[in-house]
Amino acid sequence: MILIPIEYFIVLSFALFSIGVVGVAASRHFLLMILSVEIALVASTLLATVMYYSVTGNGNIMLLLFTLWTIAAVEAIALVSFYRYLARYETSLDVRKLSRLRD
Amino acid sequence: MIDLALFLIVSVMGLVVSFFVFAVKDILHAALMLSAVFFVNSLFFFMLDQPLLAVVQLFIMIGGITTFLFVGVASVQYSKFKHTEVTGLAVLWTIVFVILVLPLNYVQITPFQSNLFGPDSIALSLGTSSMLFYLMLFTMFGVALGAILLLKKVGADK
Repeated sequence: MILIPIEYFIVLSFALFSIGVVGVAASRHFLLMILSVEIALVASTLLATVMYYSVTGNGNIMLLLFTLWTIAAVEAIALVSFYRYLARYETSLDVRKLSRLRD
Repeated sequence: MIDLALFLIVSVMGLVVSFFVFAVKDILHAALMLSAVFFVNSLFFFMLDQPLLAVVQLFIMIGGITTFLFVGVASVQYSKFKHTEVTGLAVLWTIVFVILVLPLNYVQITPFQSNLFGPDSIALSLGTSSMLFYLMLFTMFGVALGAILLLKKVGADK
């Protein structure tokens, strides 16, 4: 009987989360930063499932996960809205230029 | 033993496609790589013996990533610059990962029942659920992706 230790899942979710966090820091493209946040949210759902299962002993975690997934969906909607704004004024998606929009 | 081998293979696959989100040249392929990340994540839910969560994850893949792909296709003209410093990303990732993982050495995780998941969970969940829901949803997702790429090709021809 071979089992997977819970620490493996925790380390893996930390690895995915750190890729998402670093992606926000190292990217210049607006959409890539949004994709990085999605990767971090994916890692968060995995870690939440593992820890909930570990603490309570059952896998009934739908409420928390639906909260996380709702955040991801709202983020996608906000992305589309902001993209339409940028496309209307034909602005670049380079965040270094976006930071100067207020000027 | 095969459970652990499958877990390691899928883990490495997930980390590699996560890096490729930032390494590819254009935003459309980055969105495709993100869909692969979601797919790998749904496989992890299967390994945790949570087939319903895996199916919902695929639903989010179908909805959310399709949106990202549409936005990615539409924003190709705004992607004419270097997106990501990949070397800096790798170095920063190593630092952040070590900072996150190091405290685990000094933490004792005390689970409710045991420190392990159920016996043969991967084989059981794959055997009972995959033919019912998972492959069907994956087919739907593949058809949606193919439709988008076909639309892109038709639009490029015009």
